[in-house]
Amino acid sequence: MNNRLRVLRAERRMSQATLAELLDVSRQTVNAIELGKHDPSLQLAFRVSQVFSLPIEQIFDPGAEQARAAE
Amino acid sequence: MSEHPRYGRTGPLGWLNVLKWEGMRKIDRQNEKRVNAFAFLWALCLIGAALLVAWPGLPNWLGWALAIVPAIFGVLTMRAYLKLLREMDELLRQMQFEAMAVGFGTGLIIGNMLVIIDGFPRDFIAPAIVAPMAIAYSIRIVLGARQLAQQPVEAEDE
Repeated sequence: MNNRLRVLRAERRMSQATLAELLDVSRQTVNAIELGKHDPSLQLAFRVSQVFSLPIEQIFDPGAEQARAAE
Repeated sequence: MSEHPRYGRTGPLGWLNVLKWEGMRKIDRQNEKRVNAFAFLWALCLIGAALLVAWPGLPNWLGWALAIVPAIFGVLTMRAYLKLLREMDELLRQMQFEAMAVGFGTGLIIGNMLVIIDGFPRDFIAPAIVAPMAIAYSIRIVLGARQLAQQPVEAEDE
């Protein structure tokens, strides 16, 4: 799954450690999500949405393959 | 500056730090310590009970009682592990589930293999299943931790 986590974090001058603390996850989890190595749980995706005050679909993008599968 | 310590992963002793996560949450560290402490007590009781049960002339009821003591610590370890899993960081939890799947699968494969081997000593079937299960689980944990440790992490920002 693609996401804009790194961009949004950079815009707010926030470190991975700070974001991890806000989301109550490890810094490795934030890193893995940013690199697309880990898809967050629904609960975590909602927390990310709350931290950035943006709707989930503006942060996470299921990607072309998953969008096709949903059709 | 981050409050999390940084562990060197290079050099001759760098591999020792493979399971040390600088970004690991405090609650995960606490839960992990609790599981390790109970598991240690469980192992200690198991060894102690095995030695005492072999004592000549031990009454049968005492043998049963001695077998129950490590089982109590086993249940406490399992409870602590379940607590760890429930409260764990989701990436670490995923790593645990993968390691458990690998460990369980290894036990299943080896167990079924040993059953069809003609003449394999029956007394060794249980340890011959449990040991590879534990080894496979541990290897998967180390590989998972190494894989994550090798992911490019941004330099200390802010």
